Amino acid sequence: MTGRERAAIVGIGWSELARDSGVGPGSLVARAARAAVLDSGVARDAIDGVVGVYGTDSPTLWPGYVVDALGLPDVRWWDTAQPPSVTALSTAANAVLTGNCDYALCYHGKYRWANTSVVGRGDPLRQAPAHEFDPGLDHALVEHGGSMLWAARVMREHMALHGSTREDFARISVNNRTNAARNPRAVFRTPLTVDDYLAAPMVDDPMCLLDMDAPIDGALAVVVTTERRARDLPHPSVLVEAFGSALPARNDGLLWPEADGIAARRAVGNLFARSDLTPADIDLAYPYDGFTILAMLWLEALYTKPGEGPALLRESWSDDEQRLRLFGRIPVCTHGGNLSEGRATQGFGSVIEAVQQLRGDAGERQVDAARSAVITGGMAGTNRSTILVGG
Amino acid sequence: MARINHDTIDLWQGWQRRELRVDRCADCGTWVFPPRPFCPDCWSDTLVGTVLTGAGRLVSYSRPRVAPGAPPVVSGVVALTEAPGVRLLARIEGIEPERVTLGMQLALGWWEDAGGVYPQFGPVDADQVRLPADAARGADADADADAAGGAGQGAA
Repeated sequence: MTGRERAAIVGIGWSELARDSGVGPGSLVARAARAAVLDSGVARDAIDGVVGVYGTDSPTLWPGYVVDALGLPDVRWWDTAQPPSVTALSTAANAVLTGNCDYALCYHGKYRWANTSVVGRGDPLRQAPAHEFDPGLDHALVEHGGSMLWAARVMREHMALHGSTREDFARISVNNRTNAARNPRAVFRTPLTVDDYLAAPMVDDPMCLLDMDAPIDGALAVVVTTERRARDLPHPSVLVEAFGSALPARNDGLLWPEADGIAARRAVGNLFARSDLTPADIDLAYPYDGFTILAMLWLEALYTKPGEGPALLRESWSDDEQRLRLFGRIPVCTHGGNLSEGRATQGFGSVIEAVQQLRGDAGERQVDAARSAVITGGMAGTNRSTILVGG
Repeated sequence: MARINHDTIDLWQGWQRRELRVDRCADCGTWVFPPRPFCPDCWSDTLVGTVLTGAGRLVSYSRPRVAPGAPPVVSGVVALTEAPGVRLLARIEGIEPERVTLGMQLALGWWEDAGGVYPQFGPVDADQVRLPADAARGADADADADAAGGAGQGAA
């Protein structure tokens, strides 16, 4: 909307993303953060805010570590945020817009930890719940149920209620892999076909191996400041047009498979209520694809009525290109998404990619005249979405 | 010992007695699950554990990969008919996985391993292959549940 000051992303960086990086999680985050600061053109000593993604699955890196590892002398604001990574971006943007800091370094890292147990050994009832968001859903109350992979039940329900097929989900998986072939960051770059998808092993029927991202080591980072300060920095500005989120009641997919679709629709409504743009105006779409069913639900929330995602995908599919172009125009996950970059990224890869595209700096992936991108992130219990625009 | 916590031990101990006990608000009648500190609808602190027969309906399910040769697993989300708004994650037994359908009516049973006793669900139709394990005990529980359920209704 006009008249509001917006935040800007002025620097991007990433570590190697790999199945086994051979270095520790601190090294990954520090390398990504250093690269983002160098890319931004902001002097190291001017970085006065640090926001890190921290929590879910396993702790990542505390901001204090990053301050020490990068030798940041004068940080006056720090915070942490849960995945998806747009949550951290929004926290950093709010910090620079309110003046709590001027230049916020914002990072995300993921590491394939071995499980550890530290406290509470003296109290057998002091247990972390199996489902980290809900202390009422204890291990004993759910783990006997056979599978904690809630998204498989979300997918099953979608197939039963709306007639979506494995071929429909295959189009998301194949599209992303086709795009990843041109993304040097991606871990999985070997092209796939729909037949490859259909032949992939089932993990939790109806969900197969190619419906989910794989755990990897890696870290990504951005530097955020205000639109006004961004004008003095070397790269073309990429502005944060809006954020949107939704946290409905009964948001736990373990018991409420319908929650993800409901939350996605509300979050998209809240996101576009903060902008003069509409989903059809957007040039690049980055639906969260930790699971293909989530990408399906986000695309439906953006562009169709509930249940009409499969038809959209069929109409948008190019057999020649083996990729999607929504309404003949809008490409989807131009970098290959979490499915190709791996589960270190949790949506942060979409931020990095969208910035490259909107700068006109995406190399052979560059989409002509791309001026805006929508990044939807997460699921019912944790989601945050954003619209980015070229300055 | 099963991994249970301060918020869930009452429910867990009910399971060990093969008793599906769900909290209900004595003031507004809302069923409360997973365990919560007070009624999320009216904020009353008066939650009353109420034993259910466990009639249910299948909301969705998945079939996780199992070790070669192991019996198939169907992991289901079950909505309890007697307690609107309450769902459990549980195994669906007593039916070939290929015949499982969304919306099917289910009955409560129990199964046990070294870690404890857990609810499971199976088809209510007697023509189905076999009832869930321990169906006989389930029938005994029905009588108790009728009495307890009646009292719960009266209190609401």
